[in-house]
Amino acid sequence: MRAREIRELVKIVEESQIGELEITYWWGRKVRISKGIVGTGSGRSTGIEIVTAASQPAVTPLPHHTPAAMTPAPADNPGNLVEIKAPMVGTFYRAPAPEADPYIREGDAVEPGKVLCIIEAMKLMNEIEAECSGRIVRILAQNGQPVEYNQPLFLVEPAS
Amino acid sequence: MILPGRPRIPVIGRKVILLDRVDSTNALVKQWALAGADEGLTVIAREQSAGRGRLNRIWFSPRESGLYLSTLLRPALTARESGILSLMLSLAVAKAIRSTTRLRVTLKWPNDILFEGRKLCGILVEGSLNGGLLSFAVAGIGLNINQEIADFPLGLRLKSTSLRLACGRPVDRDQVTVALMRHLNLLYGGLHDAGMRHKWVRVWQQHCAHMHQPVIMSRGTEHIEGLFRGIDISGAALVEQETGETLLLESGEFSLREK
Repeated sequence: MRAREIRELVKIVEESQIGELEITYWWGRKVRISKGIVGTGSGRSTGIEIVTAASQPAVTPLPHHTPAAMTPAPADNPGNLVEIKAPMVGTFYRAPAPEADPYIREGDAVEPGKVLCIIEAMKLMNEIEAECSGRIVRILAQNGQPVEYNQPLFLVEPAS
Repeated sequence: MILPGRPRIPVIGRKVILLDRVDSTNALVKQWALAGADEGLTVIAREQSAGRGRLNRIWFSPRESGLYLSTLLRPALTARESGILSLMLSLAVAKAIRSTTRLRVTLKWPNDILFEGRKLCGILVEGSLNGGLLSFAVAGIGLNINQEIADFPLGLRLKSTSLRLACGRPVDRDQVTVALMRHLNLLYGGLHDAGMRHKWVRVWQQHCAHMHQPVIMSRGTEHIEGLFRGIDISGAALVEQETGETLLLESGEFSLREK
């Protein structure tokens, strides 16, 4: 679970009359946020306790297939460049259709919300958007090739 | 108490727009999604001039004889979970067909609907990811209903079929549409329910056209062969290789291997 999501949940609990909030996700992870009284003596204050736990999966997870040639490796990253990584496993496409122009080329400027590529998994074509402004320095994945979770896809020089 | 993403009332089809002709229902809904349209917005067209499938392949969409429907979903899913939508949509279509025509269709990974090995329905989901979360997904369903065999282009005649051809009689398109909306809503309501998802996997596997059969997954220059052993809870394919190792595969060009 992302820190941002936890922060949002904490905010919900803080601003509400709820004493404790527990969320169980389908894959077994549990988050419990409880609003209690912490500290001793006269300096009592309201505190938030966060417990996250993942229950044992029913089956042992199988290996995701990673072809040797595409094993995620630290990208050649000189200086202050930012990596944009694959948020999921799937097939990487640089364009919306085989004959179409790519969404982005090396040297192009990007801004938040700009579509960079598609990652397809299970016939779900997911457009990946940029989250920062800058310039694409390098495209690290090949069109039509499988990518792994967190594999670097683009190197971006952030706008100053 | 806020529970992420679980709809309490039917959401799909809260607003339905019927069009006489459109280039692509998916393209239109996607445009509205980007403009901030509400979840559940559904577009149904009598005809598509540029109906498309995966990688912009043409989906043959002649007037009146098919159902061309796209709906806007805003599920609270992460990128890694999003594949479950493909599974859910194919089951909803299979159930809608079963309830209106009694036909028992089969499913080909990840979400093709077949009857006697020929394609009856295609599903294309287009999502938008921001910060690892799905901000929206447009689910497009193209279902062949009343096409006769001669209505299909030559290249598709051996691969395609329609409900009319499968049942031997014309089928009421509106009835199928209503049933589809009902089943989409029923299943979508269980999207965040672990028990429901396990049940979907079981039902999907019962309807699978190629369980334990040799299959090939092609990805770029790589071809993985093995026996199809089912799907996992996220809808990914389990393929057992000759070495005995079972791989979890989320993407690729999937085909059945000739025996």
